[in-house]
Amino acid sequence: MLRAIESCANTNRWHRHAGPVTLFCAGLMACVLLAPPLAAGPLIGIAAGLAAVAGAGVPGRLFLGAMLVPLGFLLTSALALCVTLGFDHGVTIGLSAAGAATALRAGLRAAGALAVTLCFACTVPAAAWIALLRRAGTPEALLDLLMLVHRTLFVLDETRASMVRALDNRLGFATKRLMLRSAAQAMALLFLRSLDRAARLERGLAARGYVDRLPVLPPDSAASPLGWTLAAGVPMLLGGVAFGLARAIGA
Amino acid sequence: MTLLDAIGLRYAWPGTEAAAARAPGQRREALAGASLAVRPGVRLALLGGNGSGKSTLLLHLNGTLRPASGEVRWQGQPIDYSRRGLAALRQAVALVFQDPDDQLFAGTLAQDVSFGPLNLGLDPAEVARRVAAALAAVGLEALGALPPHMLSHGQRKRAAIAGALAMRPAMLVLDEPTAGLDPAGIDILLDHLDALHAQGMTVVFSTHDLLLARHWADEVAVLHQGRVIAHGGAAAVLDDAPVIAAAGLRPRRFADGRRPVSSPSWPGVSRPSTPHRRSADGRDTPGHDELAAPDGAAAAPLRRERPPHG
Repeated sequence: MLRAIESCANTNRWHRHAGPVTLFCAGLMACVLLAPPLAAGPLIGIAAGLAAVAGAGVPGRLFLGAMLVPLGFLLTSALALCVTLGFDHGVTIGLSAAGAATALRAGLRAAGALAVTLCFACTVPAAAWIALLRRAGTPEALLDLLMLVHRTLFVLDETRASMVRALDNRLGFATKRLMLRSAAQAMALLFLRSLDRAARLERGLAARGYVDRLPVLPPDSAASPLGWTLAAGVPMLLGGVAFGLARAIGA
Repeated sequence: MTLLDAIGLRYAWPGTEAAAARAPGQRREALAGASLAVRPGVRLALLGGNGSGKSTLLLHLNGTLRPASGEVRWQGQPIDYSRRGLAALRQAVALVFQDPDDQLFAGTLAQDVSFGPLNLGLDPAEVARRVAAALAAVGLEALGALPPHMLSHGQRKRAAIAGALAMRPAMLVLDEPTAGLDPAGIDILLDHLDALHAQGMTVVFSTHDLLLARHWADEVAVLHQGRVIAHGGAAAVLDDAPVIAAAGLRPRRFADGRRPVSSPSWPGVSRPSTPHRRSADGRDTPGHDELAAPDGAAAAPLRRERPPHG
């Protein structure tokens, strides 16, 4: 999933328009956080999904697949909010109407925010948003760290995949007990490999002239006035609709 | 006149002393007095088996490692290990690692290639020109906007070389450049290196591929147990059978062009089609030696199956 999202972010139709897309996603996020959640959650979630899939060309299956696991967490948390515990006459467990309403509001808001985050992750390459952060004046050391962490994630993911394949080929995942043991071994080994990787990368960068900074050119970008206008206008319009809808349904 | 001289280099990796103390066969020093002279414009292959010290020696050539004793001279002058001195040296001597993931770090290839030139303090317009030229030189101009992890291993190798080329070095040092590449990938890589060499670039590369050294290098240096034991014209060194054998560069079983007489027996593995024999001490041994002709020639002529229909 990590690789699929990364690949999509670097190849989607909007990948060279990081500035307007970031503004668009920031606008949607502001809407979902500020507008009443019963209207804004579903509305912004659907808008973000449509923008990613129909606008940027993100595969629908990827978008929905990436939403599934976080939605599972959301559902679990929402269910916990619906339950009330009482200790007046021993321990009593019951359903709470107020808790359910809170769960619904929080769940819808979080689901909308999740869709916006995913829209951003699938459409803006990491190099582009790091460049935007640089322009925004984020400290260089933090950006260097971000860049290294992003790259290392994928290098380690390749290592993890090959380790898991190697363990699997020697029946390391044949039973539940073996699965636990193999997973623990793989994690321990991955930790050691990550240290080794870091040392080798440091050597590699030193050989290329690294001293204390990782300067890189900003990636090529393209943005039209129409793109900027849409990126600012659509979230404002959706925000207005969300407030209107909320008033209409009395939320 | 030499471009670079490594003279009597000695170096031990941290922690190897403890390993050597526990394992008597383990060498303590990765380099034990290695010396190497690199002439300008030459293609020099550094040959040696695993653990012979090839990579360690290459890391000394641009000051990434500093020897415990001995010295490296660039254009006749000892390397200046100060921050400014190393920056100047690394502009002149660019190193490409065996594993491209050891040096690719940025979000896109173009960004990664721009790292070296920006470290030289060049202005962004000049850096952008160098990035485009370096990516074009290795045939990756169309992939500059992609992150390294979306490329194949061969493409990553070429991306790493582009990162070195963007520094406009006088000497390119490559650690096992063909490792992990298929023949087509090797061809592509060597085509690009040929073009660079034709422009006058000195190329030093490590390998244990005798064929590559014979057909591509002008000179060959053989490294064994941390020392250069031979250095000269490619044909002369590679035809020196004792040197090649001493460096462990030709598998023993292929050394005389004969088939192996016996195969090692693995615990728990048997070959049902091969008769087993019981030795005098009662142990079963596979009888593969029966398959080999007494003079070591192929036991049976190659047989081709007749097609089922005509």
